[in-house]
Amino acid sequence: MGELWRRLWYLLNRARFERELREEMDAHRAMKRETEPRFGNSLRLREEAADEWGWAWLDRLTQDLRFACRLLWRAPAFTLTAISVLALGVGVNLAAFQVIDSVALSWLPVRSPETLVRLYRRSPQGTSTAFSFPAFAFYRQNASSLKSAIALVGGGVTFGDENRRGDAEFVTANYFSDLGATPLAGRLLDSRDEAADADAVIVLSERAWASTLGGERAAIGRPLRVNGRPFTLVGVVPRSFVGLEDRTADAWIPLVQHRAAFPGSTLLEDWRSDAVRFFARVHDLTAAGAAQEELRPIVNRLRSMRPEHVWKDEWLALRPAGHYVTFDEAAPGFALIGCLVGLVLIAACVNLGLLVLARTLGRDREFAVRLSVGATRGRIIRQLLTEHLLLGVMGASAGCFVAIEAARAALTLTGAPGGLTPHFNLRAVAVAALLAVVSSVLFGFAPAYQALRPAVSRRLRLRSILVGIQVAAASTLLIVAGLLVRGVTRVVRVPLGFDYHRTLLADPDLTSHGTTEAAAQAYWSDVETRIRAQPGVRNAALTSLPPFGNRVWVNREHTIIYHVTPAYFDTLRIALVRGRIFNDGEAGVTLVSEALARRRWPGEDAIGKEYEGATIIGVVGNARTVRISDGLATECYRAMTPRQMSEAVMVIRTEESRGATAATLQAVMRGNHRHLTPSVVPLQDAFEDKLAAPRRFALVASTLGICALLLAVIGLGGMVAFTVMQRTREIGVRMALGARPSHVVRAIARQFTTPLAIGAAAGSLLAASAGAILSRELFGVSNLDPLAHGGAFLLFAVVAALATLPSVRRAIHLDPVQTLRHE
Amino acid sequence: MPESGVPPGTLVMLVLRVLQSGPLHGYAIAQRIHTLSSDVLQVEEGSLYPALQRILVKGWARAEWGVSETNRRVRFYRLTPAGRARLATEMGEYERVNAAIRTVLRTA
Repeated sequence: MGELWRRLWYLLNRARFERELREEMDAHRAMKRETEPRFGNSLRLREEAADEWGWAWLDRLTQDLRFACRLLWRAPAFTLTAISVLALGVGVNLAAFQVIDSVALSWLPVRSPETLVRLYRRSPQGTSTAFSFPAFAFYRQNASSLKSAIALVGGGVTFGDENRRGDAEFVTANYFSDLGATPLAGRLLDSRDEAADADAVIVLSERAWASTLGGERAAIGRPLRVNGRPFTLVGVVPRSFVGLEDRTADAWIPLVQHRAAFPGSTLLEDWRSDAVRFFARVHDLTAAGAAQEELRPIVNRLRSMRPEHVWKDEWLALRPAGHYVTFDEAAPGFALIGCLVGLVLIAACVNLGLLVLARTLGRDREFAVRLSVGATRGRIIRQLLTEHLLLGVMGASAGCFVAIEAARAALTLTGAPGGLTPHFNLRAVAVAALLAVVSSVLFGFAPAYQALRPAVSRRLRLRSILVGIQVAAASTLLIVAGLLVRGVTRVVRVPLGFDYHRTLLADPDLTSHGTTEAAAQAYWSDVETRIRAQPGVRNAALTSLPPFGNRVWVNREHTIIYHVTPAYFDTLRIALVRGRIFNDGEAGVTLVSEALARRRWPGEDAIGKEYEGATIIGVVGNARTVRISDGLATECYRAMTPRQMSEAVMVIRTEESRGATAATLQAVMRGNHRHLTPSVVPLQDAFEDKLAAPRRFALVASTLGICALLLAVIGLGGMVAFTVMQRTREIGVRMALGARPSHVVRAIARQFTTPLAIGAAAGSLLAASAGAILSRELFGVSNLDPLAHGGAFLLFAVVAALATLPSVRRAIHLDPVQTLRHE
Repeated sequence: MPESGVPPGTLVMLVLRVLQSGPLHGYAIAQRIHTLSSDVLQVEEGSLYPALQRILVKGWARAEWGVSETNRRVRFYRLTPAGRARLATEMGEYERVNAAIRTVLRTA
């Protein structure tokens, strides 16, 4: 039994040992002869002996804690407010940490995540994650340092009935077994699915299985049509599965079956189709550098065989892929989140400081009494420290509950897979403890300590500083939230320069089917005639860049280059400002947007000028179809040529209430091209999808802003209430001498105006700089937007006024006689 | 001869030393030190019991209840092997320091 254990043993059996000690010492006294001197109080002697067990500090701590509890219990309003404030501040920050932790610091819940890498094609000119399948196969075969190479190719398919579309991932058959995934039902893909004569099989996500087949177990092992082709459903992937880069997939299909799903697909042979995302395993991450070096000669060998498909100076980079997002890539986003939640923490801490400061104003007397009856300053400081640490611990514990819920909500909001839950690991506990100690000691104990030093002026200055910081933090958050909300609402209200209402977007996905240029041209001329013949269809046109899509083609000066058919402008209601629109397939001519014309040739007529090797024959209105947040809208249109036909999509304008629906048009799009499964969606839906992310961001920022506002109001309200209480006598005297209520209000307000003004100005400045960083999310709203800034201040003023109203009313209605007699 | 307290830092050593010849109870320890020092060293309860608690916690002695020669229930302290080792160390250290002090007093 070691010494520590013995000490613990004494602590646990303390009552018994104390009794024995007492008995023993009593016997000692009784045995003493009369002549021997007797010193000391026996209780005191016993306590000193028992102190040797080493638990004296614990006794003092429990004593302090008991006293702190009693004090806090006696001031329930203060205690509850302080705990809520801390819970909010700690909770929001801990939630942010947990989100970051679960997406970037914790390993993915897959087998051996630490050896997973992703391959990137690198060259001095650029970086890409897209490989062609033959290149992937070449590297898989020749790079011995890469174990179990995994390829993923995304594709939109229909499964079950023809109108149910979903995202499929075409994967190498080792995908699930390598990640150690277990099926919810049936089986997952394995090596037999990769055989040359293997049956076409599919596994569904739990969600897709539930929504398409009602979660029917009997459906497993039965045929399921994919893109109208016969496949067999062999298993279901549980919701908890977290894969690599396939977070929203509804179905997984062996890569070798790509042609079975997309008849005519040349994906497996085509060196030009860069569609494969490439993951692999290395022995361990320290070996990644060596593996990277080993790949260089292999890349060079491929270049000598296929010079046109390997970039000049291309090499392959290996990056760890065992996290949901890589920290480096997400770092700017994390920093931004950190700043926003940090502001909430600052608001909370400052708020606590104000509360404590106000409370200690009334404790001067208590401290004086305790000092005069013999307490040392050290003892009082220790007592104050204990008191605020206790507050901190209670606040942080409450914050942990807030954090768990908030982190879960945030992850759900961003559509993270079910297996990615915020865990309460050691890191999170450490962060919570750190937040609790920093906030409670720095901002609780420090102001309380000020009360031990009787310099009132310093205390007033501290209060002003705290009020200023509070206002600054709250107004920054409110303004940033306001800017984001303005940005999102602006996109909805400010014209994009084209009309997406009653317009459909049709995409037959010809590239997935390996359609050649000639076949694509034939397909479109056939489909266009038949679509136009449909009742209810006003116009239809082809474009190389789908509106609200992710595809974009720009030149060096960031002008977006479209290839369209002449009807595009009428279909999307883009106005022709000057000149004429090109004819179908007319070469050597181009149209430019007004913004581009004004930027390139200010004060001149753009028509007749040369741009991108073509003559400008007309100027059209600005239309932000692809980059909707881009305020510039410099666009250039060329006539569509057969080269763009296989990538092209169709935009269709329909008439009101004339029956041309997505379903009927899809049937027309398909016609007798039975191998195709075109998607037809209203542009309005695509627009909503495009806005989902900025809306979420605005929602999060608004929530944080409201948190900060709430904190500020609690702090200011409390502060004013205490000020009024503290100055009751002075107010009484003033009123007795004939001061009017307005004078009294002005006297109270005067001491808050300077910190309020400075805080608001600082908040405005901070928000403006944050807005400059966020400009992409603002959709052209200026970071100095007067409505956002003014609105935030107005909101703040109104809420703060409401919060301080009760105290001010009390001040005005004071009875001078009574207050003077009261003292 | 006037009585004096035990020099600081030596009480534990003295207690361990008197326990070497056999288990004793608290009062007997104080008595033994008193008589062996020819009535010079006086051990007070205020220092004896903290020292005994320390010895117990450190594991240098074990305590067991028994009956004294005057028929009282008392606790006897018995030296453990760890206690013996400790005594040897403390005595060695004491001798060294003592010799050094004596040298200084003689030659300075």
